Amino acid sequence: MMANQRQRLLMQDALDDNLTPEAQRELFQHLDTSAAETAQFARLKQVDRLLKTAPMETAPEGLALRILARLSEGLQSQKLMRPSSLALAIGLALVALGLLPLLGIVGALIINAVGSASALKVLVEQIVTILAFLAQTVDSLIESAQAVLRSYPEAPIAMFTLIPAALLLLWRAGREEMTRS
Amino acid sequence: MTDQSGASTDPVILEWVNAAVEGDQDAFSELVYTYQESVYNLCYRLLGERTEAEDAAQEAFLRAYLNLNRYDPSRSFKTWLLSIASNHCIDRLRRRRIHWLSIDEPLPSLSLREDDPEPEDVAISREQSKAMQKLLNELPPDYRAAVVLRYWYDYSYIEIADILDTTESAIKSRLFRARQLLGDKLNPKPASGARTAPLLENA
Repeated sequence: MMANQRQRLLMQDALDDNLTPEAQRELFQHLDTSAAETAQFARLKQVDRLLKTAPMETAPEGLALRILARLSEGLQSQKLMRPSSLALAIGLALVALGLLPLLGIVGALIINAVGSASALKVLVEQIVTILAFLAQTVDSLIESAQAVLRSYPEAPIAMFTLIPAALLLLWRAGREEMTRS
Repeated sequence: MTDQSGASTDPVILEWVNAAVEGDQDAFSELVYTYQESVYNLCYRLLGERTEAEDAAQEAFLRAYLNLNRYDPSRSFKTWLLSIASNHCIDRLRRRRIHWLSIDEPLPSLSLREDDPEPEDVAISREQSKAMQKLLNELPPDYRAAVVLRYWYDYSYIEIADILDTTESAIKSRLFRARQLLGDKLNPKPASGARTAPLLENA
């Protein structure tokens, strides 16, 4: 037979040393009539006793130091994150600033072109000229690269070797700079 | 101001907290040294495994540091810190997705004498403590947290409810069920011939 709500409450209060003499008498009387609940209460008291005498677990040696090291590591990485976010924001702002005159010119041309056919023709011609210039530049770059390759066949290997080294140097320099700041 | 466990909160602690909020890491170190034992014990009793307990304790302090500006000085700092640690541990336990004991499940036998003597025999006591931790490990996270905060930190039902963000009656119920589960696991068969009066001697 399981204890009802009232008996549960009394048992709980008994374990917490919160029973009034009347309540204690009530619990006594009830337990006298039920061997099963007497046994249950005995088990609860056993658990209570064991838990009350269970020791505090000692912290491992050096825990505080490891906590502080982890904390400063976390703060350091936050500091490192902050300058790189700042650099990204500045970079984006500069790009936007650089694009502004170009956008202004294109905007003005479009507004003019909408009003007159000749202006539209000029606009298309200018766009074609810019694209042709870009294509020509890329073409000459490829030609130069081919010429270098013909003269120095080992150049591509040297470049591929230098790229990771250069990137590593740049990364280190950046990190040192941030640490100093 | 009084600590939730009844002891007065040292004004020095509040001074360290305020300094740490201002970014003084030395002040925070003092807090770490002061509370590392409490936080670690809580994590160990909740997680039942030393390595994970240490990791959880580190994480709890880290979270506390990052949220120091949210700490309400009218509350006990220790309670606030233990609240962070216990909620973090409960989250970890829930992520484990282990099948916890239920009140309706049949309970396997783990025999310990019902009429244990006073803790004179250290070896038996140690064994019982180990057995108790094993049993704790099988309780559902919410039950376990209530038991640990009640028995190792002496918090009242209201305080435990505050820490675990629930009601006092929920805590009462959890504690009763947890004790019942632990009792049934410790000694599944009713003790024969147990009498009422001796059981209530210490009640």
